[in-house]
Amino acid sequence: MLGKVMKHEMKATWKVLFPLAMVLVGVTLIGMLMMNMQVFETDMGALVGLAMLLLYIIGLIALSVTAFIFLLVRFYRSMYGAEGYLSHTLPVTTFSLINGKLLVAVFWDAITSILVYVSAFSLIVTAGLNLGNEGERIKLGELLQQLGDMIGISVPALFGWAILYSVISAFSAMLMVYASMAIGQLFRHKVAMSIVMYGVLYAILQIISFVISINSANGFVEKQAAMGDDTFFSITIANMYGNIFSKSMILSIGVSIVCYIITALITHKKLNLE
Amino acid sequence: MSTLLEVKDVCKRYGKKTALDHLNLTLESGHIVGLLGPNGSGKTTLIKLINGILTPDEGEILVEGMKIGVETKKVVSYLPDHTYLNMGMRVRDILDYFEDFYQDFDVVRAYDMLAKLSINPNDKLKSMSKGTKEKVQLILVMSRRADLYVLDEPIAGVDPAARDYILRTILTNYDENATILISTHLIADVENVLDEVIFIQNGTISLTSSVDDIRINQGKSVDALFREVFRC
Repeated sequence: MLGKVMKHEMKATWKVLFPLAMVLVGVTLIGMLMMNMQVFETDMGALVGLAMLLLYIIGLIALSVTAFIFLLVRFYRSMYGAEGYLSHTLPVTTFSLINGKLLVAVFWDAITSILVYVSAFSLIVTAGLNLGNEGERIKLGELLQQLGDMIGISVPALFGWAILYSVISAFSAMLMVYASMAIGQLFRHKVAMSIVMYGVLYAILQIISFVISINSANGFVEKQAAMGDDTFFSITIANMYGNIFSKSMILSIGVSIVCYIITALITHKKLNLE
Repeated sequence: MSTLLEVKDVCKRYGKKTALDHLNLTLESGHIVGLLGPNGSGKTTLIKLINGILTPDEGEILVEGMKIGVETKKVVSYLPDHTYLNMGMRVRDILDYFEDFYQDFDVVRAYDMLAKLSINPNDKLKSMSKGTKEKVQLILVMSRRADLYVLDEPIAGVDPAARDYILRTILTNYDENATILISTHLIADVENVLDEVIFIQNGTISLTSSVDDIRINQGKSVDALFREVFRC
């Protein structure tokens, strides 16, 4: 049941999301090539490089947002729109429907996030490798070591955390919107109420996140003051962000569980297709 | 003949409006039944409840003695009153979709019906006219070997020739052990295929009768009786 739902969900989504992912990979490779060719080393080149960097950042955001919105619209249409008449008359449980669509959506959202991190990191590393004159440039291994020392965690470990964070964030981001849609479809003006409910959930989440961040930042400031010099700076930076990320991931897991329960219960008991 | 559908004291409200008011209904297998009523009488609400896309506020609905759920959806084939498929899909993909989820889906029959209508399975739904989309949806529904077919306004919004085709398709693909429940307000067009009618008004059943009883005992067509009962 779940397998079939996932299979057809993947068929319905890959034609849009795979090309988006390939665009990101392509842009990254072009950027790395241009850096290796050192086209930005003149004054004019530097200006062009800056403009391209801005376009690249805008492009990354646009790509991530496009993928996210596409997945959300797909879920809404197939669960609460006209296509809901097809989905909810299939001989599958509501939970299989939600789980199948959620897992595929999380897959694509996490892949997009990971590709964004890899893209940005690749360009940073390529830039670092091309700094200085020929013969004076740093080697890749040494650069990665220095980056790791600066941040306070090895690059492979950082990527591991980034992947874990991407997956957990994808779950919570998707489920927050799913829960908003599930509540919104109870009302006459479904889309408007879904947006309102998302605003409410988002506000609650932001308050909780703010409290967590303040607690972590206070801890960092106290440690910094106690240590007195920047010898331990990199250790406390990694610790601070590690602390924030850990708490943020726990919060995301909690949000995911609550929003999943809301989505599943309302859709199962109070479905209201027009 | 066996009891196929039982609707027991079902109520459904939308805010202050009562769509179904303690409605009771039983359908036996092996009939073509017309669910007839004016706009807003509760036909579509009842149909949605039978198909599990609405939940009743009170009462219960049983299909073959089972509560509405996965098992009943395996034996009920539903045609909504609007386009409900993903328009970006090709007809072939939709047939694969139905074949994957419904064990009773006869894909050979479906392709045969498509061929008779000269519908190309490689065409995308969004490239088709409204009438052709409705025919595709009807083919999907009638290609299932279900026990209960629920057709909500299957001939509204299509031309007379298409209406004739739809009604012929219903009759020629009809399994005598199954039941077809057709909801419509275009009674004159469907009257000749029905053997039973249910009149629904203000969320309750006002009449249940065989078509023969109406014609012989009351000496009028179902359409004439409908106009009389639901006169404005």
